[in-house]
Amino acid sequence: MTPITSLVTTFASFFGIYMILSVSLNLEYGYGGQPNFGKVAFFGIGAFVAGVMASRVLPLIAGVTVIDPLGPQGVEVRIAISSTRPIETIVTFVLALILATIVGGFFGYLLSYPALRIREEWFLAMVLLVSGEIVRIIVRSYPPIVGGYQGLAGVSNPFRWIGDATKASLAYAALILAIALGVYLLVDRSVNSPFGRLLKSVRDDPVASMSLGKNVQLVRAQVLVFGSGLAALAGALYAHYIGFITPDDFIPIRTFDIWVMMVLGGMGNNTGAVVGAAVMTIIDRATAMLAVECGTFSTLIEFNYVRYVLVGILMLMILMHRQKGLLPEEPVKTPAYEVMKN
Amino acid sequence: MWVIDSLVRSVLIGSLYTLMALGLTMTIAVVRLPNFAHAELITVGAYVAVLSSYLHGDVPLAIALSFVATAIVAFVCHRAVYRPMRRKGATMYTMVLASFALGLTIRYILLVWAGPAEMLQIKPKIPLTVLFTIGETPVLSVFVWSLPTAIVLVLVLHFLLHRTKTGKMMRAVADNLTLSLVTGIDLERIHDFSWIIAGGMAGIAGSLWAILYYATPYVGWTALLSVFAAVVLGGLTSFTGAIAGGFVVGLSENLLMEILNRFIGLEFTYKPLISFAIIVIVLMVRPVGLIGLLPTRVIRTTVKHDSRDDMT
Amino acid sequence: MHVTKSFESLRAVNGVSLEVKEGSLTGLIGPNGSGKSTLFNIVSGIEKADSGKIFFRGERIDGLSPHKIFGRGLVKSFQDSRLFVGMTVLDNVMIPAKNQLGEKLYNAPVRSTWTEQEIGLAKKAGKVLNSLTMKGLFKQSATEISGGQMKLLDVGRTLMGEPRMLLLDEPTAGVAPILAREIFQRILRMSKELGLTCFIIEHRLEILFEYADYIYVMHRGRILTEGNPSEILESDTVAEIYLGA
Repeated sequence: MTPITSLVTTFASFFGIYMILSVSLNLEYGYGGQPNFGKVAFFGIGAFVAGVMASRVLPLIAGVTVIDPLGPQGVEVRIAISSTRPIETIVTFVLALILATIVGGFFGYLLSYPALRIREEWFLAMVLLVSGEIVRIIVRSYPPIVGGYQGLAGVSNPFRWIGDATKASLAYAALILAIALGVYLLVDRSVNSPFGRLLKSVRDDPVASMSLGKNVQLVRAQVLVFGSGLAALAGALYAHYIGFITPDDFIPIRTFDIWVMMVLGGMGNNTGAVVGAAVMTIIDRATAMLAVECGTFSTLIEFNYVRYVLVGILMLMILMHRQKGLLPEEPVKTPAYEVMKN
Repeated sequence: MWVIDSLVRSVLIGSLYTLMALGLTMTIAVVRLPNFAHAELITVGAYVAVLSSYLHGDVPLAIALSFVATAIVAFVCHRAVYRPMRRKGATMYTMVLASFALGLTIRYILLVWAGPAEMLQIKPKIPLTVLFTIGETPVLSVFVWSLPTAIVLVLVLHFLLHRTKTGKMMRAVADNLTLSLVTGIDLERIHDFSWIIAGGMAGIAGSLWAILYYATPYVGWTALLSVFAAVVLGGLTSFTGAIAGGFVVGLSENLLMEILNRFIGLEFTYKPLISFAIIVIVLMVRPVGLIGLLPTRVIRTTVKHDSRDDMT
Repeated sequence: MHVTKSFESLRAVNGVSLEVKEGSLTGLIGPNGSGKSTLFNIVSGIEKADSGKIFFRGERIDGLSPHKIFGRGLVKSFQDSRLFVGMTVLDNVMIPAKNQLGEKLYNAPVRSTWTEQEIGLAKKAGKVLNSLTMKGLFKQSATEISGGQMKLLDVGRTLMGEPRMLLLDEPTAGVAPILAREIFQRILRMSKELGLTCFIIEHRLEILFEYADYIYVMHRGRILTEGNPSEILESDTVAEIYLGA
């Protein structure tokens, strides 16, 4: 694979995944007012589900027995199957995506319960944050899921069977982008509707909204389920892209990244979320590449972490000077406006 | 006997959690900001103590320097970030996000140079001696530093809050902000003071932690879950509650964990789950915590209720 | 159809029992702190009474959550006209409409399921805005209109929810006297047209007494006295509580 192709596929794949995450957070917070500080948990759950599917279900569907799904033999088997059996690979992949979304949505539903009992908003934020960490700790400590802290390898690109690594990467990148676009359109249509109005009313003033006949609790649950499901979808896509799943990949800083994307792009604006995702992808990948180049300096500083410092400072700058982000919130676009013009 | 061992550790850790929880409670109650960066203040304290011990192996000096350094960091955060944002009318969420950002930035700054400087996990250069033994459990010299310091600090804080004018003003602000503003309290000074105290306490807790164990850039963060559990147990804005909460969490994580490990075989890697379970249980059963001070402010009543509804 | 309330509750409302006749415009007056708003909050479901029963159109509604009470036709407006600040005037008006198909998440992305209803509601919203002479402002953010217009909007949007009875908490609060009268007249007109029952907390007694059919007077959490406006005007006890308060 040429460096250019590698660059393109990397950027495209990450952009697609980040876009889904950013749009989902914008849905939850920008429109719905729910501060999901535990986003990484759902991202992780999606990845873990994909891992479980790849390690247990894939061999099952392909009719191959595996003694040790989480160990080296499992890796070999997975890679062998995905290199030679297109149908089984694709089927498992699609199932993984669907299942990840459902499981993610389910956990999102569970989280709407703390929202019931908590009054102070930040308390919910804190609870979601620690919940994210707890998920990571549990998965890390309980090997049967994805191999504990050692992680799971060999969760490969679903197009591996094409044979040509470049084509496979490009194909998958294209798929990720297509799915990301689909998510964007779905969310955009969902919020430019009476539902979007409803969301904003719950966000702005839950008491008034309830007094005007809206079931606030139900709405909140719906939003969390939707947003979490999407994050998990992104997680499953990510798992198959990276190929290696480890619980320690899903640390709070990733939630923070998603928040930066949304805040930077502009809350309550779907296009803003996409813009934010694009900027973050650039920062992310650029610093990753620089880190490799600057390996010579690693005796002085650990360059990998510099990226996080930069992101942190970026967020502080945004929050202090341009809290609304780049793009402003837009009113809900429904046919009602057309009617009114007459 | 492992029980004694566990108890000793419970009390030790409990006292540290108490210090951390008190600082966080103060920020929440007086400044009305749940400072997500509180964890990093602890970490800074830990590292300052370690560095100080290498320059001069004196323990009181290390602790004192930690206090000063962390108080300064907290104050700078307040003046450079929180206060300007407040003045611009930032929402609660924006402030929370900012504190999150600050915390992460500080942590990763530490991580940037800690690796190459080989300080990723570093013990302070303090001679440890066994002072005496209870049964078979050796009591190290560090014990003498941690527990009494913690106790003294709690007493000092109590004195500060109840006997000094500034302390009383701080409590007034925590209880009823509008009323205290009407009586002409200088809010800025109170805020400045609160940050210094809260930060300093976190720093001391961090230094003691480093003395007991070691310093890593994740010190504060790993403690945060437990500290949060302590604060939740204590009812979020109660100082006495935070003290009780700190010790309960300390006990749960050590003695209770030991028991669970020995009798049910629960592995130690699951320790954070205990604090999490505490938070969940408190939320479900008694959201006001052990000592419910301001229930209507913090906890949602059966139907959502806003201060705007409290008119005639 | 009428509302009967009788209940005890410790803090602000202490043993209140009253009945509002269908189709009437009934007023609730009393000095500050007498528990009027709390009473309204309890009836509309935002707060819970410690004990007691509330009947609306023959059915008990105490203990129901506010959104269900709204669904039954009992609508309360807020003292400080709580408009949704992140939305436009039009959105604010459209919100209270009941049973919007597009509000269901599974319908929302599929326009065909709700477009027709939406257009119908938009026309209705247009009429409401027109009667408030605010139609030209439909695209404005809710924060960009005047205080008086906000009040009108708050009351006006409640009509979209097809109410049978309105609980109006100080609808003219903070508004200039001329505008206050106008607001009151609009309310009266709308309610007569639609056959609504109105229960109004109001401090501007001159205006209220001109239009009200019946008045309840609250003091320190209890109903002090009741009667039609002229009776209340002549009552010594009422004058006392106002002078003394």
